[in-house]
Amino acid sequence: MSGSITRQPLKQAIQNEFQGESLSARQLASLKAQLGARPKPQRWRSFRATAAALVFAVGALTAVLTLRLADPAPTLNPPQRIAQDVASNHVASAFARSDVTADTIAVLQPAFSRLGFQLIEPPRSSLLHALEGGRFCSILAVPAAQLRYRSAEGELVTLYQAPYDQQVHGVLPEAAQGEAPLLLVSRGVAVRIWTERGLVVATASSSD
Amino acid sequence: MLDDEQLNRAYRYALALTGQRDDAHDLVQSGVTRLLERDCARVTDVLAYLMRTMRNFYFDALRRQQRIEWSPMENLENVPALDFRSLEQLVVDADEARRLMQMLEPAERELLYLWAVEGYTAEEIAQQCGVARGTILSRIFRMRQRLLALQTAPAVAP
Repeated sequence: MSGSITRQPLKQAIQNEFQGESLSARQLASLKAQLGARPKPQRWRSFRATAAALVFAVGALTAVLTLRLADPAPTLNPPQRIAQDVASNHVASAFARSDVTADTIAVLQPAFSRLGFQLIEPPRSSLLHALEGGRFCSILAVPAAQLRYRSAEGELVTLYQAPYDQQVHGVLPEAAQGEAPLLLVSRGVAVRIWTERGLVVATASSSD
Repeated sequence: MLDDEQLNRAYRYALALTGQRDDAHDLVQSGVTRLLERDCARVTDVLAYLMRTMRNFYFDALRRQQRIEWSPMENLENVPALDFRSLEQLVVDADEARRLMQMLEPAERELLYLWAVEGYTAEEIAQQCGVARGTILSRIFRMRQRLLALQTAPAVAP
């Protein structure tokens, strides 16, 4: 980065720091070659495949229209849909047993290994006072772990962990950046959502 | 898809995130690789999409390496919020600007870069980074404090 002894406004100084920075000709050529080598999308080559796609599209369109007519609810954004799924899972958990009973994440971990990610310890909170166990569930059709906790007051609190995909889940607060969890209420259930270490994490409780 | 100037803008942004030239180049390359893996036919601003991809990739990698920890709320609730006008009044020399960039966290360097080089407003940065505007304003306050502390600290002999 360039150097100078002149005093100047901070903004100008920062601009100067970056002004001379650029990729080398070789790096640029490599990146452009990479971009130029982008594979073209595959084309349908057989009549059968085209026909199957048409049948599927018509079926999907019919299903969507049927659902829309049956449920004229406004379109929800991804965090709202997460909250809806989490709230449904939370309500259902009152009537369902845990797939695995355990009082530590370490004990639960092997049972959930097929989800393809490591369960993470939640932040310390009086809401998540005592772990009771966990079960499999899904959030936005992505397989997820539901962990059952009791709060210090004895209320059931559920915590969810699933792989985070911004395309699916939308932009969510990042714990690593100190951002406060997103708080949404769905079906009377308070849902807090954030991302942490590559996972989308949510808690659900009925009492706050 | 992207011309030289756009790739260099992506590189400078990566440099702001990583603070290291080699890491910045690696990050651009990773971003481009991910870009190519996705269907970008409907993406209207490929550079913005690339920068966003790089940002997510970088912070995900940091998290995996556990180089950043969650300190709940970053104690931002008790930090006064200042807008960028408070930074515009500051005057520094090149060495102080460089030392400031080195001592900042990646998210803070990103904030400084987006404001000074890309000309973003606090609202636009909040949108780009997916955080509340208040969080950005509080980070500005902390950054200003750090710079003032750096300027008043006694010079260290080489």
